[in-house]
Amino acid sequence: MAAFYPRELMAIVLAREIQDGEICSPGGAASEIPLASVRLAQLTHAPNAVYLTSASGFVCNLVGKQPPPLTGSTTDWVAVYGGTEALIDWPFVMSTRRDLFFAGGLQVDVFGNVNLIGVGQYPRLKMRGPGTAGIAQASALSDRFYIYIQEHSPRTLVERVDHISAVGRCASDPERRRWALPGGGPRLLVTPKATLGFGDNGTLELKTRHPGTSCDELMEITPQAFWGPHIRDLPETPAPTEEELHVLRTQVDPNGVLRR
Amino acid sequence: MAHRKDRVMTLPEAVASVTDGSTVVLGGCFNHNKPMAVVRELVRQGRKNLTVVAPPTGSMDVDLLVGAGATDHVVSAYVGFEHLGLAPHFRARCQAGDLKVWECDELHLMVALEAAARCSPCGLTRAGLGTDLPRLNPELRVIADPFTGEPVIAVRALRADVAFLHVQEADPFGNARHLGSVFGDVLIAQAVKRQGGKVFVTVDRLVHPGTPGWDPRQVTLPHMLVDGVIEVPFGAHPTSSHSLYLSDEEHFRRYLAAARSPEGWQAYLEEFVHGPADQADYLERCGGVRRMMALGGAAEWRRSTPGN
Repeated sequence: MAAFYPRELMAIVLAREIQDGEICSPGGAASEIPLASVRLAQLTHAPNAVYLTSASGFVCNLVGKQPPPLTGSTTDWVAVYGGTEALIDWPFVMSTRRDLFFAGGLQVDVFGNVNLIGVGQYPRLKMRGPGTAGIAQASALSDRFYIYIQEHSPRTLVERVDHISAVGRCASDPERRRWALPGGGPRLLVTPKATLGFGDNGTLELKTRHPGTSCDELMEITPQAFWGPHIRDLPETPAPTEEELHVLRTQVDPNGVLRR
Repeated sequence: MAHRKDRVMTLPEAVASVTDGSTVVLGGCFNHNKPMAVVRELVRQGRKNLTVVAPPTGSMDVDLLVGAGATDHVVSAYVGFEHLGLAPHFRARCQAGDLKVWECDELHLMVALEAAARCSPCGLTRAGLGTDLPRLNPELRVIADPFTGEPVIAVRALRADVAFLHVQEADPFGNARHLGSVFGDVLIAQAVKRQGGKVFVTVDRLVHPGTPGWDPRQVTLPHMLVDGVIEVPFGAHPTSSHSLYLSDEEHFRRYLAAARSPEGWQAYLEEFVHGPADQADYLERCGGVRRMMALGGAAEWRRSTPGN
């Protein structure tokens, strides 16, 4: 098995979730992981997928084009050279169906609610975050969404988020049904250590451990509410294939943003 | 023969029409197409108690106004420096409890602008159902849809006095052309004009309407939505101006470092906001022609080509 970086694996895990022909939305600000995942999917198993870059409105497909650098910001206009085929404005993006969306956050809870507002009591927050951005609408309206966090710890994985920016809960959850939302809710949470998905009781639980991470380590760094029934016997997240890693490093992220 | 009046004006003239306590809308998005020369002029002219609206998102535009004490109320879905980090003054003032935030999603801002542009008192969306946004913002209210009875959020129309946008080019009458992303600029202009407010556009270059290549089909913002055009080369610096120059991440880092101490921050304001006699002087202090050349021209080609 080839060596890889945690952020590379996160991008690869997310890329595998994308079906051919889907409309993807990798988000706006610091979004190099989802951006890499949608580009990787296009260049491997989903050549007819398209991605829209939030408010900047770049409509992109990379197949057959010169590989662009991976940028920290999808709003950066060098994205014009990143497989852009059309440019639409923000209201156009907001009015366009998106099959899947990616959300990062300060905190994620057992229902898959995500907090970008801040930690602590409102308004005198202990830690003020950047704000909800577009994850309230995306979590309500896009068919499904994926959550990624860059730190796996009791700080980021909490039983209840302090403030809800993105509404979680799986499609069958009575709470989500009460709101009559068109979107189906979060599908998967990926961290640098593991993946989590919904269990039978409708809460997020550990599903796989990334190669190199033991069950013992996960028990140490994961609050008990997320353990699930298989915590002592978690299967391994499938490691990157040679093709995935090759395409990622030569065509998606040639400058090594995910290898830092 | 009929004489048509152009709408060209100076930066101090445009900013002088803003009174203390006004609601000011800023165009662009994140670290891109922000009317930064206007932001510095608002601080130089000493405006106070502004409500600052940044649809969909803000970065240094909002943070500088917060840090300089020009605003006590921010309306935006996000304030931060993207991959460079959180917004230091926005964060500190919020944590101290003395900055009011109109807590929202991007879509709420769009609905608020659309409602204003169409003279509706409010607009509707499902975005935000199941979140804490209606709890934190009294202008987002969960109501029952009159047709199905399903829950929906009513968003109050945005009321604003003035908007400032940064666009790459315009003619002297205010017909402007975005050379890259338009973001929410057109909707902002529609909303503010419809409510009786004023819209000012800074441009990197003023273009004679007879210039070869100036094609009315490519105009993104027509003049009836524009009250004033101000030529400010590199007027979006240190944010990018789409297709002309990249964002100046070195300057952002300098800003973020300066914001770590009160002395550093005062020195920053003196050097880049109060000190410069004009835009040319400001650009000199930011590294001058050499730095601006490094952000424009072939810079985008170099950055877009792997291996460089």
